[in-house]
Amino acid sequence: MLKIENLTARYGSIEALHGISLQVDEHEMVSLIGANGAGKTTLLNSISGTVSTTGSISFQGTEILQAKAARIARLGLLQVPEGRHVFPGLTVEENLLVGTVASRGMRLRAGDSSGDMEMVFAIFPRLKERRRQLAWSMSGGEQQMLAIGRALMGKPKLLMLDEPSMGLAPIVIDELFEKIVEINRSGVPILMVEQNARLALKVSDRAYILERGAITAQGPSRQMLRDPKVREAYLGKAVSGSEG
Amino acid sequence: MVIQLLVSGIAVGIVYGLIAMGMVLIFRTVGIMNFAQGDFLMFGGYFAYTFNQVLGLPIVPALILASLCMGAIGILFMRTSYWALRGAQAKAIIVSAMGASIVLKEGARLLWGSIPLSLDKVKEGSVTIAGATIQWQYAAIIAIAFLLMLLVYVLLEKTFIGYIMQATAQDQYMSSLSGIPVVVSIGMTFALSAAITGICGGLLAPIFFLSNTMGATAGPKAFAAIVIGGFGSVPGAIIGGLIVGLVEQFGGAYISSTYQLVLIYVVLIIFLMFRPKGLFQEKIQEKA
Repeated sequence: MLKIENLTARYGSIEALHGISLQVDEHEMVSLIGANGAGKTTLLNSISGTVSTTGSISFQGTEILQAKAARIARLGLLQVPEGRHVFPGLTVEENLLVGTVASRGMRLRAGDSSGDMEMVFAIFPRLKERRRQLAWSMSGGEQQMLAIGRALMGKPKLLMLDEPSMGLAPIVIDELFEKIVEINRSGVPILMVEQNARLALKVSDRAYILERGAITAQGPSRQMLRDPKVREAYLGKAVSGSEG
Repeated sequence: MVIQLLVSGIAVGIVYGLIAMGMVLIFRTVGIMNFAQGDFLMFGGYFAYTFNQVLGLPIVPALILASLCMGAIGILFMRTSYWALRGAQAKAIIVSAMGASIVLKEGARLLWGSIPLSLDKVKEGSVTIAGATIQWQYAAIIAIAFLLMLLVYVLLEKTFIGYIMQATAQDQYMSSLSGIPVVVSIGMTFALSAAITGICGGLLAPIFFLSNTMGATAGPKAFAAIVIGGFGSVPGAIIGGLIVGLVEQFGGAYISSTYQLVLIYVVLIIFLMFRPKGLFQEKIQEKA
């Protein structure tokens, strides 16, 4: 449903992505792994329309390379950016309501979104407990849940997650990734950038490896987990023996 | 005397507070102090004059129409003076706003001339309370100001469109990733800000007279109100405005009417020395 061909992205005169081709199909969870500065975030931002790009990005048959960020979001391609970016001065509930703009457009009245909100609360019960709390005052894990919940309110046809585990305690990460898998199983395809390569490969169906702005390897995640080169570069030698 | 000064100080001060609130709304959304805000006040006053004196409408509908016109001016101002420069350095946008301020000032002179004008009061006459004669206009200003504050509060804090405007003010990048057309959201903020400030012009005109330099006098007072109240805080802007208004009225009566503006700056400097962050903090804080 998302098909990227020969994508380049540049910041001024610096080319950050060199001819990327990538695809995400219905129901898939695809992870994108690579070192810091490899261009993972740039790739997500290219899809979201916030960096200048050439090539082709087609989403459900529509070419979106030149489209503006807000329109891309309203097409159902929603990104949860690195660092969560919750609206700090809005409550949990208000953040979620703002998320409905992506699915229902800009409008004067919110209308009834209680059904969608209950669905998000069913996935993240913690958000329901904190519904009247201002977003800035919540923990990192809760903010990440809120950022994902807000994207879900926009009824994503494809969800892009940028470093969802960043800065979170291991126990929180486990809980969060269970939810991410649950969201994917409910039918939302996910494209995920994750520094924790082991975790990303465990939960995803397929993976791409990005090095210095180009894709150097791709394949089913399970296969990647066993690939000696991937293990050495991204999974760390120390724990490689315990992997089954 | 004291009661009279108290009432006029509160009335004038609350208007400064409203202008300051208009500036804060824009500041929170685009991070820039709008140095043309005072000219919104002046232009709003002239619109009210046109509807009231030229077209002969009663003052209340004239004020409402003037504020609607100012909403349109606010959007026009945003598109012409801010939008093209949104990625540029703050100083570029400040200079652009100053340019717009000159355009508005001179435009007003062309359209309405340079002779000071006046318009109807919301309610003529005065009332005597405890031996003090209080003009109805002051009472009307205070009442209308409270109504406006309530409207803005409800709009921003209780309605969906208010959440969207706040979201855009807090994180423009994330707003566009959420599908919000940022230009529309920012445009609404400018419209709201200009509309409120415009009504203030129509309310002040019967007291101070209407001239194309009215904004140049009121703008700095509103700026002082923002600094005293706490940069970026809406309640702070209102309280700051009240302090400025009371200092102006009491200082003018007891110390010297020539040095009214100087007294305001003295208070401003005292705040900058001893409480540079102002009275109120923003509601969003850094997490400990």
